[in-house]
Amino acid sequence: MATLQGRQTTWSLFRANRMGMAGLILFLFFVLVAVFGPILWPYDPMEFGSPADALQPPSAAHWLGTDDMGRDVLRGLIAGSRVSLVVGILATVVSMSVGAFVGLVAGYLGKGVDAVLMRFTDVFLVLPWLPLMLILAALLGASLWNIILVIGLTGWAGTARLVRAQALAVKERPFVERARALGASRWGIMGRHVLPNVFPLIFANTILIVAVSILSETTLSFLGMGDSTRPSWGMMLHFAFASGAISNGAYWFLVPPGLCVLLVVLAFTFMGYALDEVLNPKLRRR
Amino acid sequence: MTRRYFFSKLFQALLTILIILVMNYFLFRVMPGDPVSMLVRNPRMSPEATQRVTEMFGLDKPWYQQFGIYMANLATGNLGTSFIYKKPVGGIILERFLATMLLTVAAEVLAILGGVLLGILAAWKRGKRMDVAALGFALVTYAMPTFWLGILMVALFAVTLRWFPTSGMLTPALSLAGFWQRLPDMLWHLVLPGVTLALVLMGEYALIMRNSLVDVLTEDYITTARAKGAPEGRILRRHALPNAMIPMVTLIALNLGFTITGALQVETVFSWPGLGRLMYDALAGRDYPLLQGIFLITAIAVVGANFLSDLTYRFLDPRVKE
Amino acid sequence: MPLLDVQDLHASFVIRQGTVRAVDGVSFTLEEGESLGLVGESGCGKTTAALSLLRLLPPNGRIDSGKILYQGRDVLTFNAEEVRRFRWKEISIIFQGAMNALNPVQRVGDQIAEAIRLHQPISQKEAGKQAQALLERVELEGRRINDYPHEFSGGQRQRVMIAMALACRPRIVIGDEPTTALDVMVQAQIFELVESLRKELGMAMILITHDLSVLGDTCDRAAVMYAGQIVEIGPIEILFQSPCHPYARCLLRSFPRLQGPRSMADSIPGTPPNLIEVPPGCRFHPRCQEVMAICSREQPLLLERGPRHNVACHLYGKGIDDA
Repeated sequence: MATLQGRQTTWSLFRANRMGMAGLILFLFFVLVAVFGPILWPYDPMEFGSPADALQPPSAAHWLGTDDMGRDVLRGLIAGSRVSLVVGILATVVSMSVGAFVGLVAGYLGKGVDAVLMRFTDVFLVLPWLPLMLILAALLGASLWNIILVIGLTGWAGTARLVRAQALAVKERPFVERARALGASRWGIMGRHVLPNVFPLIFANTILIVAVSILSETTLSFLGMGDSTRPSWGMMLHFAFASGAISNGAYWFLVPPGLCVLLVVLAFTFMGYALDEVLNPKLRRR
Repeated sequence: MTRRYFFSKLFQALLTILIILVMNYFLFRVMPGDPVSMLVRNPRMSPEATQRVTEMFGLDKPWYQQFGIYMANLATGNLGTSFIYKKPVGGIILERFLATMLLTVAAEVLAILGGVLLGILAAWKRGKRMDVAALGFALVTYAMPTFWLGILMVALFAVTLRWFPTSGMLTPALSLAGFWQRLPDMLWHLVLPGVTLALVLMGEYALIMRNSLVDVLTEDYITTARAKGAPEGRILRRHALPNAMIPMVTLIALNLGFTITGALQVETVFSWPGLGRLMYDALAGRDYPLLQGIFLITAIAVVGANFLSDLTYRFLDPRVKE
Repeated sequence: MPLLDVQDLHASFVIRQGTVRAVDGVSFTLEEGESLGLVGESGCGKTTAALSLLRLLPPNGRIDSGKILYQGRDVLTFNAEEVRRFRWKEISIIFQGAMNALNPVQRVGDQIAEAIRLHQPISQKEAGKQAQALLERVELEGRRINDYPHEFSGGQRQRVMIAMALACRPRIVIGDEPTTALDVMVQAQIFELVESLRKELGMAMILITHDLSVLGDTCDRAAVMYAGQIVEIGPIEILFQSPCHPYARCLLRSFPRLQGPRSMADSIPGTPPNLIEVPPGCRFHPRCQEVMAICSREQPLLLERGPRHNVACHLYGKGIDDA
């Protein structure tokens, strides 16, 4: 569907969008840090410093000071970037898969199946996600894979709705009818015809879901469901909170992890909005 | 509004609650690591306790009977017994519920007021600095973890500046004092957590308000009002706002899940004695009955609030089909 | 002194591609009780001209120059408060498509009452009674003042708009294609109503319309607009029987009224000019059958041809010797 001409235009349109470019630059920065950072500055969370080193303000030795265990905050941040990004992206993959599947089936098969699935989706949309996620995480146990699963299993509803709307539109198109007339199976049609046409339109949504997933992971880790051997930014904040960094005024430990989350989420949000404007020109400029 | 609309919405709400109940049941019976059966296999539990748990949950009976017992228990308000507190879950939740309501309502009111005002300013000065600033504010508050904002607020205003207390709802020394002495103290404690939650909500409200108002201001009836000789202030108050506020009601209702989530985080950070803090402790102690109860109550509260907002919406917009 | 005297009005609005000179030197007069029709293709500036009278241009529009003398006073010099008092009380307007012209969340009676109370210090109750009487005047049930706009049909909503437009007994009513969205039967009823009310209250009217049969039935005079300018203006009989301007001729002369409304644009080959970059000379000359050399160089002035009959065309102006 995307001709070479089409792809060129999309990119140049995106490039013209300042918000999108800002997001892209931020995103690339963090990806570089996540990929190369831990290689250049290895960080072993198990390597504790001595208690005397705990919660030290920034100095020449430790640019962002030390955390509650005497470890270097900056190194923790760099290592944490990998965890936060990977978990966020994988969780998005799970939630997009579930959501796309539900939406596709509901939209294409219609009628009873649609009604039941949509009622189910509506319930998920309304539910407060944190209590649900916490229960699931508590049941499954605290680990990164469980967090990925948990976020994926609770965040699919929005995508499902979107995919369903697109599927409804696409299934009326002539090429789908032709495929049906030629005797293609329902699943075949859904997989080979409907899905590829739905995909570009939900791509922008995917980027936004990554932002949400990263926020979710951060919150879950903060509440204690993360993996302390592979601390994400959320986990760092969990340690900060639990160790009384607040009452000690240890801003160097409190601010940077959250700030990183903020910047990454903004990056994905900017890119997502910009992509939406570019790919869905129906969106008016307000 | 007609009875048909009312009952149709009521039916939908009840159906949603039913689905939630079923989900809740299966969460705890079907998931791997089913806590109830794990509890029963716990060698440290006395035979009597095991027997009691078995009876209470009907573990020796077929699954549909277990479900029936579960529903019957719920109907009588029996949400199980907390592992940590050794008291009925229902009672514990009720105690904390009011505190959460207080925080949530205060924050919502502040967020709505702030969001509406900000949205109006942004729409009025569309495209200019105020508008961009409001949009920026909305984006940033959306992108930051709620609990982190809370942490920053505590660190700055409570620890460094010492303007507000760092935690809790009441100064311990006043716990036995009279109501009129406790009230101002409680309000003083409410400021930081309330403002934190309000800030997080305000951004999105301002954005929706702005977009809604911008759309409304391009409508023909605004031109008609101007042609009639109405002053700008009146146009805003009597024509633009009543129409622009309608999507806000829907948004606030849809956002309730998010609001509860935010409240939970804020309570954790500020040790506000509500459901959030309770949840944090329950999580740490793997207190499943308590977790389950909190989930159920918050979910039902959200559905209930959505139902109320559907009724309010119909009241605000006479065009809604029935 | 004429009731309304518009002199060389220029209005424009700014869009992404540039500045559109929507009204480019429009002049006309209107006497008490007279009805003037404004006809022309879409985009010729009729609505912009009408909105300018009430200073109701959208935010990206402005009145660049000219005078709008109402009873001798220039509306364009009014301050904000004077404009507000002037609006609706002296000149009111019936918009096209009352679908969106009425506030959907406000009761119809309240909207009419609002118009009254903005210009008269009377109580809500008293205004409500007047609103009720007005609804009955437009042949709707008085008790429907408590209904919302969506509870009325299209034709009924237009009647509500009419009732509202008359509420302050203005001297002039502007009708901006008030029946375009309605079917023919309803159209006829609406116009009958408007005409009888107008005669009864002695109001002047400026009627913007595409529909030439309506023009013929209701207007005393008509002004033909093209590309932001008036090309011919005069009594309706002359315009229908012997129009002078080539554009007016194409539109009006061979038109049999019995066949009902017909869109004018399709019978003339070519398209209207770009109003952002206006070509020199007469605006119509690229499409004119009787074009002369001078037409591409100089703009024709609106000159008098007969009593209250003006034409802007070189055929009747200075260059007539070349014909």
